[in-house]
Amino acid sequence: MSQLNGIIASILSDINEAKSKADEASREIAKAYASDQILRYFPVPRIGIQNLEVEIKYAVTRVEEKPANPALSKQRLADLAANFSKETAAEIKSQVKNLTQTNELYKGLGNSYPSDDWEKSLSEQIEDTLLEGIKTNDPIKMTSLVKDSFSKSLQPLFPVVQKSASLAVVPLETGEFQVIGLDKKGQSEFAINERFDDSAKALAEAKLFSESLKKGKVEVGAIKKDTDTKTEIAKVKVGNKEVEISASSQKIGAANSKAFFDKSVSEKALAVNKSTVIKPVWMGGISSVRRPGGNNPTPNPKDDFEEDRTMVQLAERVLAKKMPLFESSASKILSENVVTKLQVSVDSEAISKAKPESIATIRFTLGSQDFTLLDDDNKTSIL
Amino acid sequence: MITPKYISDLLGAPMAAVVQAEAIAAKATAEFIQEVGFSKTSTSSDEDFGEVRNIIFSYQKVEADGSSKTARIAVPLLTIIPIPSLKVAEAEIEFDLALSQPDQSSSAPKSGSSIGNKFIGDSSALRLKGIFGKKPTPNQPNTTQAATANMNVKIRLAQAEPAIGMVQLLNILDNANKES
Repeated sequence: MSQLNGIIASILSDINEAKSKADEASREIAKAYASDQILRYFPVPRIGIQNLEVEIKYAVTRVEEKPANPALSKQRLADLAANFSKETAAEIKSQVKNLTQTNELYKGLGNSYPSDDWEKSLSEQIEDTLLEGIKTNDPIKMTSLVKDSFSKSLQPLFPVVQKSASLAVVPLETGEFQVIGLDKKGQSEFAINERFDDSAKALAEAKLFSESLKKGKVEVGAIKKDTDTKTEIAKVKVGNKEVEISASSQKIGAANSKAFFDKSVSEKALAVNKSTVIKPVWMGGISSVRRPGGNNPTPNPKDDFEEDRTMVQLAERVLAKKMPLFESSASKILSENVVTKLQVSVDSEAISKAKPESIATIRFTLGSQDFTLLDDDNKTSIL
Repeated sequence: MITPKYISDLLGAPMAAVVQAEAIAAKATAEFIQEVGFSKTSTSSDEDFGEVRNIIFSYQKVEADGSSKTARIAVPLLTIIPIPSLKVAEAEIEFDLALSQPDQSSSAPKSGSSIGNKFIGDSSALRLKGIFGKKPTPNQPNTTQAATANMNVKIRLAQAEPAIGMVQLLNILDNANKES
């Protein structure tokens, strides 16, 4: 089994070799003529091919699609991945920045988040994932691989807020975490002043606070005002521990600071003790038949902390919006650089067994000029 | 079972045969010239050919004064008899081959250097072989043992002018003979 071009090349090469055999015969005859008294005056027989027709029947055994120039398409795909990654990272950065300015839970990240380094790192992560996908040379596999990888590899680049109905563990621009109290609308009401260098410790503190609220063991103590930061700071006894919580003077407004903190704490205590009301299906609740576990689900306690995936979801939405563009561009590059190659057999026995529809014939003709040599001046010789 | 041969051998053999056949015919002509045109005797001055064989005519020649005289003319025999000389002006070879395709990796590489690169592809390892086969006839079952051909070749040959190299070779050999 070979490619058709290899077979034709082999035949052309054989024709040339056959012609050389005839020329060799002429050469030997010329030598013999020269040594003969009479034959030396005879023209040496020498033949030229005027016309040669070849017809070959072959069977197509396999059709292959291969990249014509894998290095070139790989380079083009790599360039596409690099550009796509930069554009996507820039768009995600812009949306994340917007989120940090509009969403209370992420405001602690400040105005300078995300940094240029973050964008570069995100771009590199996306590019690495895409390059890994490119190795498959299959746009569909590439897309599914990229989607799987994104959720794993990109997750660490996005700060996650742990949130319950009344408290949240939020990231700060310093890289630390802080526990904040949320009002009924989910807006930041106060913050525990202590900073935590990792989210687990902050979450433990938040859970302790929540547990204490549930047991009614949170008690607001003395209040002081910090004019520099324009905040009111309250000492709060949480179980056996004393913490400081603060709220902006602006938020407290004209109300009594002590009353503000007391109300806030009591509202949260009420909220954590209240079970989640399952909405009936007719109000847009979840149908019981579709819920795993039967008809009587346990209401989700209000003091459970859940991940707020807003930022990751935002990035996933941007990627989901842009990936089809990448897919179509990658498919285009791959399809542009594919050549179809026929594997054929010219074996007469194989042809006799081949299906009639896979048998084809090729004819070619060579004229006398195909065997003409050129002399040193690049002019056609007299042959 | 006939052993398959390289295509170049199968194509080259009839082409070389045409050249060799012409040489045999030329040799026969040369021998005819030598045998008919010359007579070799023990006293011949030319040790290769001997004497030119002549035909002698005698006739009565009338002189200017009106008297007649017997005259003799010797004419070389070769000038008056046709010399059998055959030359292949054109030849047509047609045959059918049943190809056999050895594995590309196991087939013998061609002699000499092969030009191959990633664009042209390297076919140096592929060499086809074949045997003479019977012409395929449509809609007829294969009743003979002969292999059915899948390659048809038609070659039209004509006498070619001698190549420059051939002319030079002949001149060199000719001069060498004269010098010796």
